[in-house]
Amino acid sequence: MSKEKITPRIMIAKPGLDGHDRGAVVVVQGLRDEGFDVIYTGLRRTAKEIAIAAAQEDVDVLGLSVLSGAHMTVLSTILEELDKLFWRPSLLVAGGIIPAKDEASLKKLGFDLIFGPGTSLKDIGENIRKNVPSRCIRKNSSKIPWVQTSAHLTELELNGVLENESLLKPNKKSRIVLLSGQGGVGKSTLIGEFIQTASKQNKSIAVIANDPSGAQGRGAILADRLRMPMDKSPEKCLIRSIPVSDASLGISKEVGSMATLLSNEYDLVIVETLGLGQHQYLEADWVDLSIAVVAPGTGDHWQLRKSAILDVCDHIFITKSDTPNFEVFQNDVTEVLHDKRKDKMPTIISVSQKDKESILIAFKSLF
Amino acid sequence: MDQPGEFPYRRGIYPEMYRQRTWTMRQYSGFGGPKETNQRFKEVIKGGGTGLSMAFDLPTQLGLDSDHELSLGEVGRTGVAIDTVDDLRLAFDEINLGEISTSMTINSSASVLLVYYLLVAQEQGVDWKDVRGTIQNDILKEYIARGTYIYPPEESLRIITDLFSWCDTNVPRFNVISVSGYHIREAGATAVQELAFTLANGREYMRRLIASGQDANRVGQQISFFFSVDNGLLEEVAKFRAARILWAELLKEEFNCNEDACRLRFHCQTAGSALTAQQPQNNAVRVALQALSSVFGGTQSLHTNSIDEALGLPTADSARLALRTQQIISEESGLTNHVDPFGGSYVVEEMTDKCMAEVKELWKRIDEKGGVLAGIDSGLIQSWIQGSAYKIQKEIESGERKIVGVNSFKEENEAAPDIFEIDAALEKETVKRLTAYKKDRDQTKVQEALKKITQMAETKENIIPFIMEAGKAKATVGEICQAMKEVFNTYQPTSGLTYE
Repeated sequence: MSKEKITPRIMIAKPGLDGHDRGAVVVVQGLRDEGFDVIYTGLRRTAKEIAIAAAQEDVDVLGLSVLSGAHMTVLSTILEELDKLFWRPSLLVAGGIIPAKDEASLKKLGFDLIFGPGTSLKDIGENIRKNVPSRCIRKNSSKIPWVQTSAHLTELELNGVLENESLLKPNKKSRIVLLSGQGGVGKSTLIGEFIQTASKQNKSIAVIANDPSGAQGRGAILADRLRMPMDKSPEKCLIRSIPVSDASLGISKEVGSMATLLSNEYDLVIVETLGLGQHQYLEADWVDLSIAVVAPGTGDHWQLRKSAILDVCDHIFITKSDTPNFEVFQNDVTEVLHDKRKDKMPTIISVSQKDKESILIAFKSLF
Repeated sequence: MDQPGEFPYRRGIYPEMYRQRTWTMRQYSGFGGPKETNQRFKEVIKGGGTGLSMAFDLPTQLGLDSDHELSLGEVGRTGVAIDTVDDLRLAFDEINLGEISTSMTINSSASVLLVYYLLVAQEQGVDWKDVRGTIQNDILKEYIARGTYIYPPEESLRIITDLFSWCDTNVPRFNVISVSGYHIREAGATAVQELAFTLANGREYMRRLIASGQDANRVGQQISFFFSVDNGLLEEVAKFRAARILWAELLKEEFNCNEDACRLRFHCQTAGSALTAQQPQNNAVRVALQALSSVFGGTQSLHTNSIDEALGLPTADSARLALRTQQIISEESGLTNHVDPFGGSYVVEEMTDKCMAEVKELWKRIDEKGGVLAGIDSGLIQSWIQGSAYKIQKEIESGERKIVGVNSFKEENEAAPDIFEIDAALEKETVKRLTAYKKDRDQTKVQEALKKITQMAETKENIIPFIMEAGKAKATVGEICQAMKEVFNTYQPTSGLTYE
């Protein structure tokens, strides 16, 4: 069994308005080093956003950090939101400045573990591990389609197959787009813009974000979600992060079947992968469209020349088109492509987050 | 050997320092509603505090009214809830704004709160030329560490330059920006990182303000700083000395400021993150030592934390003890008779030089990455701080870094101390008062004033006079900030969490 099949997944969230996240980010790093895959939501998420994100990621553990004194209100609101989804993680954890006298009432509300000021990372890690030794498939009673889909994604992640095989029969409702690029080129930002565009055009969208894990024995920090807007209507937008244990692949093994499952339910499925390297998924049969994302300042001429995806991709998005030396870079890319592809040039689209027109053009090219 | 009061101010920005005038004892307070805060302010003044420092609740800091969906459970928690000019009037009831100086820890919504403050001063018959105080108004560190940003950096910086130029004409004795390292340090930065990022932020404000047409010397005189003072007694002294030299040299070299404008003035607060929930009385000693560091380092004003702040807001008793700590240092220790007592100490002089060199090294790395704004945007600066926070935590857990009561000299079965409680009914009352306020006003006038703000946000016009008009028309903090949001939008942060 490969590593990602057993690593429990934890979401650390900062509900409420409190901006103090030193504790939260220290815990995120600590749990990663204790071997968990960790997702951090970033600051100021509403109870609804956190509940949706936790259910979409189908996390095993949900940890909430509050320091502002608003914990009783904020934490009970999150439980209400989870109940609306008929979904719960295996373990609910609260931390922050929580006075001892509130612990009993929080436990009564449904929190399993409470970590007050001064708790060590080791204690947090060990206590969580004791309760949730591995990632597991939760039976939930939810009738909400996207919550069920999230559970199916976990089933695929862990077993590679679904009990109900018919769900995987491709019916090609939508296109599966592979979006590859190195870290820092702006893939997540771009996907964030696509999510907003899809919402405006009343199209549903699913995103699979492949995130690299840390070194061996460590978990991964799945941070991509943070750069994407948490959509208010989860039935129209599902984001799922997947840790990649072997960074050279840039993509998780079960991603093909996961994307296929999603393509039966969403108008557009984007699979985000890291790196421009050589991997066997570039021309996999489940990929309908492959896109390379490159940006000025993130690699030289020679690196471009070596990247395998430029040999086969259908489109190239050049991001950050508002940066000063953009044209020089654009010419570089075009030149490399002319050498590589000669008569069969891919479509080149320049995009900038600030230029909404360019986002619309890029979005349209996905269909 | 440099003399105190001589450029680049290694030994202090004035020749006589505390011999002439002791530091300002400025205790940060505010909680609940305006009435409760007014009570606490009066206690501070009666107890001998020489300046007020106002803490706001998170909704106010984020430009949200108390009746906003996101404000639920947060009203009056971390400071006072101010929705309207009425609330501000209540908070300063029977306090003469011409006599007291008030520091407001407010950033992204600072323009609105300052305007309210000035409207109340006007009602009291106080000439704006006599109004003294500070608004923190340091947005860059909000993106880096503190988190109460609303708009994206460029738009926020525009409000800051607007505020600066408007205040320069209308409220010349008010400090419009307090560049803060405190929150950067609290987020886990080292002393060197605190200094490097804070001064780099200060440099960015200098550049922006000068580019907007302000006089470099005037800007230099206006900008002040706010640092943390943590446990390393000598390290912190060296940090303050290094800060003065680095800033003075920077202002002279890059901005050609006169030596007068190159003085780095700063406020200090003892480190909240150094306080422990375990054996909380021990915190009194930590606070006293930290306060000493800041006095050795030549601070202009000081806030000392209360012993129970790892658990919640301070009680009235613990807040008094915190102020007394400063008074004991000032009245009993004899320290105020000496200027820079560590000057010439081999250890402290060497630490000062080393700190400066390390800060310059970090500046170089920031500049290589395109400056502070690029460093914030990519999350690089945040990730450095998060890495440091994690390292500190691991050192505590391994026992390499000793904390009495936490990883050494622990006690079992500690009794739970009394904690300060916010009245849960307060939120409902505040919302009720706000609803009544919103009903009882000329709605057309409010809407017109708000529309004007949105229109002006699109232009390059100074936006402050239009916020003033909206304040007069009884618009709320939330409404005014929303009117700007229409044009400025909200900031989407990056994680800063790296894969290292």
